[in-house]
Amino acid sequence: MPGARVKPRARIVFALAAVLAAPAFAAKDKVTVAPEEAAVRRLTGEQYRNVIRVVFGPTIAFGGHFEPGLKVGGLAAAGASSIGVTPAGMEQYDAIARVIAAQVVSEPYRAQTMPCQPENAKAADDACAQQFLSSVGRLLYRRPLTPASLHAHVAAAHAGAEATRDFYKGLGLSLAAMLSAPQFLFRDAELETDPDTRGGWRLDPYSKASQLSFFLWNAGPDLPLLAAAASGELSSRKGLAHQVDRMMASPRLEAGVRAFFIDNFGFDEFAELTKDAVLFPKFSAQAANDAQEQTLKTIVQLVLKENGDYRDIFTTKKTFLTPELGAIYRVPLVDDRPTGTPDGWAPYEFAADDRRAGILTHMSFTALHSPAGRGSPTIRGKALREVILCQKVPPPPGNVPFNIIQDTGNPLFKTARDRLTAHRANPVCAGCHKITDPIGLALENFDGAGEFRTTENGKKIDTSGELDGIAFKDAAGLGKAVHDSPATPRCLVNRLASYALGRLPGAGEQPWIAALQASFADTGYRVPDLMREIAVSDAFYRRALPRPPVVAGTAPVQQEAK
Amino acid sequence: MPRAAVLIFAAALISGPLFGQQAMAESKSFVVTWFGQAMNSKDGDCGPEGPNPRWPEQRLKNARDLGYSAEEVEKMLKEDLRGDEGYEAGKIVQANVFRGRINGEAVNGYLYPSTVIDPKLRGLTGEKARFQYGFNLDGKVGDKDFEDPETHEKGVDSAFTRAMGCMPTFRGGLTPAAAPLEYAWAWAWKKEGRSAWIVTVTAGDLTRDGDATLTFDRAIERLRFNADGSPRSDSSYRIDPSPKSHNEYKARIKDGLITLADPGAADFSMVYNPEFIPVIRMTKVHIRLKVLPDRTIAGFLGGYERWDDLYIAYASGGKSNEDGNAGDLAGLYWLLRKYADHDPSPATGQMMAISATWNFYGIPAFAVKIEAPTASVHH
Repeated sequence: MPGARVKPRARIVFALAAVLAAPAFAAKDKVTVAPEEAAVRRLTGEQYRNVIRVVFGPTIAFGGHFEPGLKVGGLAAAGASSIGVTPAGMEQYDAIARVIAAQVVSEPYRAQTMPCQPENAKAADDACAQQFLSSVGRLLYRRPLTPASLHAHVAAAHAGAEATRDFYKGLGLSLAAMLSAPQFLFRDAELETDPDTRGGWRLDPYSKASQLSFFLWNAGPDLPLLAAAASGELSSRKGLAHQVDRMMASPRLEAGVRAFFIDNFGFDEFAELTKDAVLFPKFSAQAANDAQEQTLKTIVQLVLKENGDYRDIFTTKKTFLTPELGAIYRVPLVDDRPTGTPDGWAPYEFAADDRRAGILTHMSFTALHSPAGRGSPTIRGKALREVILCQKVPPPPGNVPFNIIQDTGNPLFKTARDRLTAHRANPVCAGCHKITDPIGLALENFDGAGEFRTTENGKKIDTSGELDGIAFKDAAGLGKAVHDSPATPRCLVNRLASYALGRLPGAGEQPWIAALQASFADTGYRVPDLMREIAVSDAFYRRALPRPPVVAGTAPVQQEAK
Repeated sequence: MPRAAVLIFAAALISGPLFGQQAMAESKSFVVTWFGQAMNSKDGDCGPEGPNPRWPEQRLKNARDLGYSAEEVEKMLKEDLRGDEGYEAGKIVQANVFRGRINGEAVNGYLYPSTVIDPKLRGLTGEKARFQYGFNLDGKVGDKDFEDPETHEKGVDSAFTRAMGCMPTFRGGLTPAAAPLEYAWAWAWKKEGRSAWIVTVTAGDLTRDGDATLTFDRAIERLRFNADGSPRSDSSYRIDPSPKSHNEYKARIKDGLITLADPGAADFSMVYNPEFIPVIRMTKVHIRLKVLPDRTIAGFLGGYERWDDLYIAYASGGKSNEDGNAGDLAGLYWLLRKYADHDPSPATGQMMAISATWNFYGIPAFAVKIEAPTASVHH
């Protein structure tokens, strides 16, 4: 049925473990949480790709497009537990799976992907098929295949080989089925009883490994982590801490940090971003790609490689640029590599008196939060409030006229400030614009594509404003105000926790969030420390049982751990 | 990632040592986005007969000048158009290609233009041709000199303009949109095949009257473009260290106009485009340019130029240039030779150079000296 969605929650399996088998814990969370119910999450497109690259190699090509996600609280990660797969999306998954599987079993890849060779390449070989499928299945399903599941996949490979008279084609068909299976496409949430809380539940070791791995690396668990899950090491606080430290020390942590900030700042929206080529001729697909990467490189350098204060991303003069961006930022930068090679990156520091400071002055913010034909203090202010300060800005009423704001050629209102002042004369509009405009106007030195300007329609731009009572005169001042705002680090904790959990934290989890915020402040706002704090928290893995569906005329049945 | 390959330079680092000697100098660079002959064509500026015939008509006339009767030319044309031999290989075409004569033998007219009968094409003439861009190069005000329409300087020497002004494909105005077909074609086709030109103005304060340094350099990179095909401003270009294309002049800023401090005292040499004009070489150079409110520049370059350089540029494409854009190439030869006004040959007295005016536009850019070793900041 078109539009129908699979209900992944229905697939949750509960594994009961003996309460008495609980290991001795080194330390417990200092706060008590009332966890939210368990939910499975659909892999994001990037997670899907990461898993495939890790398991089968970095050169695997992907065909087709992944179904778009759903944002909850501005985060795709938080929406991943609220979506399923449409029939059209399932077709895409199937097509992508077949493309991947065909490559994996193709002759050039066999040396690196096949642990065995069939006795006869034109016939089924269940032993070899089982060896391959159990090996990759463990990585793809992120837990060992059950005997029944392995048997089914081997049988599928057998039938495929007989039908095609080709062992590898048969194996590819079975692998394609594996790549289209819910166990691969969805991160499961199998539960076990939590020995620390009476009647409580927590993720089982394999689900815990997935939770941890996708949070820190944005990819599935590696073999050591799966081994830790299998051995029970991951169930002890000491063992968990060991694995967390190992993963935090890995270069793959950068992928996890990047994935969070891509989601946090909504960089997926660059895929849809367009600009009027007449008004903003320097904007291009290359510039858009570079703009995202500039901000990501800046953040990774500051918060990860230098282990700096997160708040400094709003004030730092240091960044990275390509020649493509150099033309937009008006800085001298050349690339002397051979013609035709992609633009290279170079570190750059804006001068002390340069108006650019912090990521709010990057093209990735000013251009992304602007319409196609102009800049927008309101949209930029709204984004800053919602994404960086976690403050909700109500949508405009449906009957508000925007003609003054959009009339950028009006000689009476030459600057955006002039136009917004006139627009705010409408009392219906004034309330929200009071929240957004004083901060958005500080970025008016950057046009709709992020290029610097000092005038609009010949009139000098006034970039003064205020953020929650802190006055500033320009974008650098706004960055400082954001840096100093207590809402800024609080918001990051909220969003990182939401990202990690795959949903917005529930009311019962707020003590944990508060503890994370305090801890974040104690560490000097170090993001890696915050990630570690989340990763080793009991609260990160505790879950409530899903509420059974309410059927009309019946009372919900309470489930308890036995 | 080979980060070392990506070089960053602060503008302050490059302005002083590379482009001038002024202490605490301010420097602005521009990449040239248009370079062409400065034309100012007006109706009636070719006299009562108007501009010279277009090439399809001129080549019939040339055939008649070669001795074919009007009837023979018409017959040849009909046969050519019937296409038995292909029009381009037809008799009229061949007659024009080989319209040179040496000892009665037909020779390639592009290679031996002096052996071609002078078609006596017209140059600019009369009062309506009076206003042409340029400079008074010889310090005299002669009867044949022009008046600059912008500065109203009299005695403007721009014989190149007079020579080409009545060729249909050389008529036009200054801007790229109004440019003569010949230069619009040359720029559009060649701009991505040649290194960009960089103009740099250096002064203590570019907004005030005073001394300045003006340089013209050739870049390593080609002109960079936006996604819509327009030239990209604020891009960085490495300066070719070769002295062949380094031109440095003492200049003055007066009311926003930048001119040479000692006009006519220096030469100009820039490698241009090997497929068009390989080198722009001028003597007794005059330059004026303005930085406009939109941060772009507009300027003029005048001086004496060897006219055989120019002829070779137009004739190097042979028949295809003649057909497509330049028009009668041998006719151009005779025009240039006729109007040449400088540097007489000691042997023959024939003037070897012609006074010329080019105009150019530019957009902001960064000039980077490639030997500069220091990046502004590294993490």
